[in-house]
Amino acid sequence: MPNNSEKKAKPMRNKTIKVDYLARVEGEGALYIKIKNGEVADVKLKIFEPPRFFEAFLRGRPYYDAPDITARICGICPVAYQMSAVHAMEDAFGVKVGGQLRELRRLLYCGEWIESHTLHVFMLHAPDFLGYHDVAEMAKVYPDVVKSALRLKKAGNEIMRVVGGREIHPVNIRVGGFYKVPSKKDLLKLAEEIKWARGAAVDAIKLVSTFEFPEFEYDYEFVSLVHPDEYPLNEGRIVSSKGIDIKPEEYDFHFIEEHVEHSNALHSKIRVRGNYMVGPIARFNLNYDKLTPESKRLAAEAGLTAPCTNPFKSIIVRAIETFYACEEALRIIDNYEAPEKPYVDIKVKEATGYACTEAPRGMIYHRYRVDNNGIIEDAKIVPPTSQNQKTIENDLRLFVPKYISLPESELVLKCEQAVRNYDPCISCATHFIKLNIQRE
Amino acid sequence: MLKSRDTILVIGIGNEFRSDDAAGLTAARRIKELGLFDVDVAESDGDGARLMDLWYGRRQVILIDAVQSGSSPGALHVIEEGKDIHSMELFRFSSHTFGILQALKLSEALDILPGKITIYGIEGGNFASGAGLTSEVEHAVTNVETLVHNQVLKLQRNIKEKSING
Repeated sequence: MPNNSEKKAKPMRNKTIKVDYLARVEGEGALYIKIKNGEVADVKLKIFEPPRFFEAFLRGRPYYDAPDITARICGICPVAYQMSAVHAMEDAFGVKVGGQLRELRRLLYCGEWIESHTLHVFMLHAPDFLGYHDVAEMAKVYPDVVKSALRLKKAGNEIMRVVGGREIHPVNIRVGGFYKVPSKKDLLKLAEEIKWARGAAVDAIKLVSTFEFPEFEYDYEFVSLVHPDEYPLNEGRIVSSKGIDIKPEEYDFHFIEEHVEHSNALHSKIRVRGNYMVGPIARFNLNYDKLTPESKRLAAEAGLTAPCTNPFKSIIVRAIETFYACEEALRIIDNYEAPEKPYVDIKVKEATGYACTEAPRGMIYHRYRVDNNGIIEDAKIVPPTSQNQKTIENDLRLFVPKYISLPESELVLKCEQAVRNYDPCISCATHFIKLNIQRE
Repeated sequence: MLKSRDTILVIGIGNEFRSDDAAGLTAARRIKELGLFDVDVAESDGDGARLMDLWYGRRQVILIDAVQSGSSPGALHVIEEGKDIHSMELFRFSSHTFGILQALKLSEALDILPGKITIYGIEGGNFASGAGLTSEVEHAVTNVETLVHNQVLKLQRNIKEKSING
C-alpha cells in the first residue's frame, strides 16, 4: 500500500499558496497560506458561501415552501435542511410531531447519514489516507471496497426514496409530517438491504481503523445537540463541552456570525469564547453514552474512545455513525406501525420558530418569523460548514508548520486532507481545482 | 423510466438555484418535452455515485452540464465518444462534489463505463446564487436541444441499421 512520502526539500522561506476552487469565489482563492521566513504568517480559508440567497428567496413565501426550497442548499444533505425547516415551523405554530411520524423522520435522517457519510469516507477522504489521488485510483487496487461503498451509499439513498419519496430532494416532507407514509411491507423490504449495509459498515470501521493518523490534538469546544434518550438527529438541547446547555431558541444569544474582512465568508463564534467544532466528533464526544452497545464495542475495537480530540479520526467516527444509523433504522422498522394520518394539523399564527437538527456534517440552525397568514417575513439558516470554517482555519494554522518543508504539491494535499476532516459541504471536499502559486 | 440497454439516456446536470449552473437541467427538461421515442431523460444534481447508478449498463449516454473554463459564456464544449475522459480537464470546474469527471474515472476503473458517452459542456458566465440563465447560456441551451435531438435521431438510425444488417 503506497504511502505519502515526505521528501527532503528546501524549506519554503517566503511563499504564498493560493488555491482557487471555482469562480463562485470571484477572483479570490479558497485557501490562502502565507509562509514568511519559513513560518506560517497567515491562513485564510473561504470554502462556503452563507445561504443568504435562500434566506432572501424565502421572504414573502408561505411557510410550507421552506422545506422544499432549503433542501436545494445542499444536494448531499437535503433532509437536514428539510428537517430543520419543518421543526422550526412547528416550533413557531406550537405543534409537536411524535409517535410513528417522529420515528419516520429519524429513519429518513438515518438514510441521509448513511448516504452522506459513506460518500465522504470512501469517495473523498479514504484516498487521502491510503495515498491515492482520488477514489478512481484507489478502486484499481481496492475494487471490492469501492463497490461495497457504492452499494452502502445506495442503501442510504433507498431509505430516502422510500420514506422521502425521492432519492434526492425528497418530496414527501411537509410541516406536520409527511404527505404519505410507507407501509410496513415497504419498510420490511428495505430492511433486507439495511441488514447488508450494517455488515458493510462494520467492514468500513475495520478498514478505516487501520489508517495512519497524523499526530494532531487540540482542545476544541465541541457543540452538538444532546437528547436525554437518544443519539441526536432531529431534536435536543444545544450543548457544548465547555458549559453551554441551551434550547435552540437561545442560539442567537450565544452564537454569532462575524463577517470576515476581504471575503464573503462568515465565521461563527461562541460569543464569549470563539471558534468551535460541530459534526461527528462533537456528537460522539457529547453523546457517547447514547450509542448502541455494539456501536460502542466497535468504536473501542477501532481504538476510539470519547473524548476524541484528533480531527483526522473523524473518518472513524463517520464509519461508526454509519453503523449506528443502520442499527437505528432497523430498530425503527422493526417497531413500525403505519400511522393513520400522515401529518399533524397546523394552525397558522404570527410567530417566530427555532430549530436545530444534526446534519451529517454537524448541527444546523434554522429560524423563521412568519406573519398571521403563515408568510415568511424573515429567515436565518446557519449550516454546519459555516460554523466550522474558523476552526478549520485554526487547524491549518497549527498543522501546516509540521509539513512546511514538503514540496508544494504534497503540502497542498496535506492541507486538503485536513480540510476534509470536516467534510465541508461543497466542491472543496474534492481536490481544489485550480492552483495558483505566487511567490513573494 | 425505461431501462433497456439500448435506450438512449440523456442526463441534465446542475443546480437551478445557481444561475447558469441550471443550464444542464434546463436543456434536459426541454429535451424531455420533445417526447423523443425510446429516450430516457433524467436530471442530476451532479452527485457522482448517483450518476454512476443512472448510466450503469447503458450503451448510449448523453450528459449536459454547465462548465467554467475561461471561455466566453455560452460557448459549447462537445466531447464525443467520451472515452478519453482524461482530456476532460474542463469538467474539473464543475461545481459538484465527487462529480461528473470523478464518476467517469471511477466507472472506467471499475470497468463499468457506458458504451458511448457524449458530453455537452455549456460555458456559464454567472454561478452566483440565483435563479435564471444569462442570455448567452439560454441561447446555448437552445443549441444543445437541437444538437441532442439530431444526435439521438442519428444514433437510433445506426442502431436500426446494425440490427437489420446483423
